[in-house]
Amino acid sequence: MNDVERRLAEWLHREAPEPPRAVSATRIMDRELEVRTVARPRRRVWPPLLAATAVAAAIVAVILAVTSAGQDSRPRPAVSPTTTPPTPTTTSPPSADLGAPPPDFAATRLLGTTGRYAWKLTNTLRVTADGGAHWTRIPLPAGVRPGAVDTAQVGDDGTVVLADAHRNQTVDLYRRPAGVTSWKLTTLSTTPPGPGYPPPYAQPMQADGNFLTVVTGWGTSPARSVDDVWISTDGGATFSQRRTGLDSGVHDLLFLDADRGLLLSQHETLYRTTDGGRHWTKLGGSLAGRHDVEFGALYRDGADVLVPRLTYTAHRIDVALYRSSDAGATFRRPASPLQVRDAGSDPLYLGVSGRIVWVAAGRTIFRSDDGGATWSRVASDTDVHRAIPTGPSTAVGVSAADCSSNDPKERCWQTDYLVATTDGGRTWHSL
Amino acid sequence: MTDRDEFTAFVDSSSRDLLRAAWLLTGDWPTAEDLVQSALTATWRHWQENGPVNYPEAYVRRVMVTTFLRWKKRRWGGEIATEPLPEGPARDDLFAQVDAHDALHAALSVLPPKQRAIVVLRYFADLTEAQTAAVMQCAVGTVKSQSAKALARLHDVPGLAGVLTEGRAS
Repeated sequence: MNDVERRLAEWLHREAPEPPRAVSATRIMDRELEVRTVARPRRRVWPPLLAATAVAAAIVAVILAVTSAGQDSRPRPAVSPTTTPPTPTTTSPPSADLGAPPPDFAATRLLGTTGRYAWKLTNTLRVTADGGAHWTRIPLPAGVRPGAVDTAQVGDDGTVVLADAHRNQTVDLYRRPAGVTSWKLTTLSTTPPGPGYPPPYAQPMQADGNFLTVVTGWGTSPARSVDDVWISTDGGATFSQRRTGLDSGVHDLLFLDADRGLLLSQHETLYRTTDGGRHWTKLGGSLAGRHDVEFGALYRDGADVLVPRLTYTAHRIDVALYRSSDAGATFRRPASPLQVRDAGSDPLYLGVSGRIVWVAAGRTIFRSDDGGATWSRVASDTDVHRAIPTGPSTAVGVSAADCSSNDPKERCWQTDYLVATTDGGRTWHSL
Repeated sequence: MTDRDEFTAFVDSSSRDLLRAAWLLTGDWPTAEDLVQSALTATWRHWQENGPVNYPEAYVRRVMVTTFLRWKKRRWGGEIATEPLPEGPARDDLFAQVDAHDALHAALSVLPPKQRAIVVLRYFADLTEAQTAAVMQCAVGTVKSQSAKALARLHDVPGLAGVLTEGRAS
């Protein structure tokens, strides 16, 4: 956030008036109960219409049962009956009938950036090591109920780490090395920065063999959270814990070893540490945060660190891949960034694996085979909106219909499905 | 703790921020209260049917913004409710407060509804661009470009340029 944005935020916080009264939760809950339980007046119904209605209701019930199968299987709590029938009122039903939101704003999630990929869909974790041709289902640890796992990470060597944060401020960390079927549990005891904070959230960031990093945080939103960085070099047996001390949460974290690492904050600011996270130094120059700049994530190519810098203007997005060979002390800028002119309103996703970089923007896919120095347009008019490279000409992606609508009933997240390409992105087939 | 207790605790802890954000979106308290109550009602219904929402603030914000944008799309704007009488006992700082609120509302009124929603989410609710995009159901790039356009428009609002460039009203 730059100075202008910070001043605007301060001005809004200062000038927004205080509400004249608080919202009554009881009123909202009781009003909703009234709307649900008010008896509708009985009407005389033409018998054939009644029969047709019953048939239609049966068909709808079957359709609902079929479409809801395999989705959220949690038991639905029954609405508690009222001891006193509420008085019928003329309260109009609430207009915001929006239904359930997507659990993670995306039913399908690809995790990991090189070689092996995890797929979380309806509480199932699957891993592929061959670009999506074969998938291995990974059963959850015993006692972990479906849906409890907050986040997962799959390392390059196939190590899987799951995090489950609890209300009592503890975080259960399950680690499963490649080729092993049992899970090792480590419980992290977190300390909130003060009273009144909600339960923590937890995100495993790296799972490279015995080297693990985890971020835990507290706050009503990651942008305003207080985060801790946990580092383990012995497979989770012991951790060192560092509070970042930054003014926002962690968006991405990449350590090259136990001392040297880079951090991308939720406020689009890059930091660097050389002492295992005790101190963080803000990067400047071209990698300083600005309101029109976004850093996609932090990627690793051997000993190099890659940072895609996206610059937004009114008419195009410039994608430049910055590379550092000295753990973020200095960065090299590519000679010619990719200029995306037709990103439209669709997301722009990057997939980076070594020197192979994919950009899915709008309905177009671009690829670079030389670390972002030169680019080629490999596909147009495609629904693929995320691509993760698995080799020189293969990639796994997520395809979806257009999700740009503001209509919350348009559950585009349900249409996500996995796709793969073997011809450099020209054609894609569903997995 | 029952669902009712949890929901009540959530409403108690978040209603102030939600109401202030709703005021920034709508510019008047009756509509802001309607907006928050509609969003909370939908949240409570979801809560009853599916159990506690993982991130209730995010859920309510999303419902609030989509409801606000839907209301703005309606051709008929609804009645202008004036529950508190316009006339009231004068207080020392009343005029200054009204002037400040009018200036704030006037500044935000120059923004189209989507840009106003993005400004409120980004700079008042402190969401990141990715979170704002998730709430608005649009691309991060859209959030970036709309934020930049909104900042440019706000720069042109008389009296606001000083706030944005020097941190004080000019």
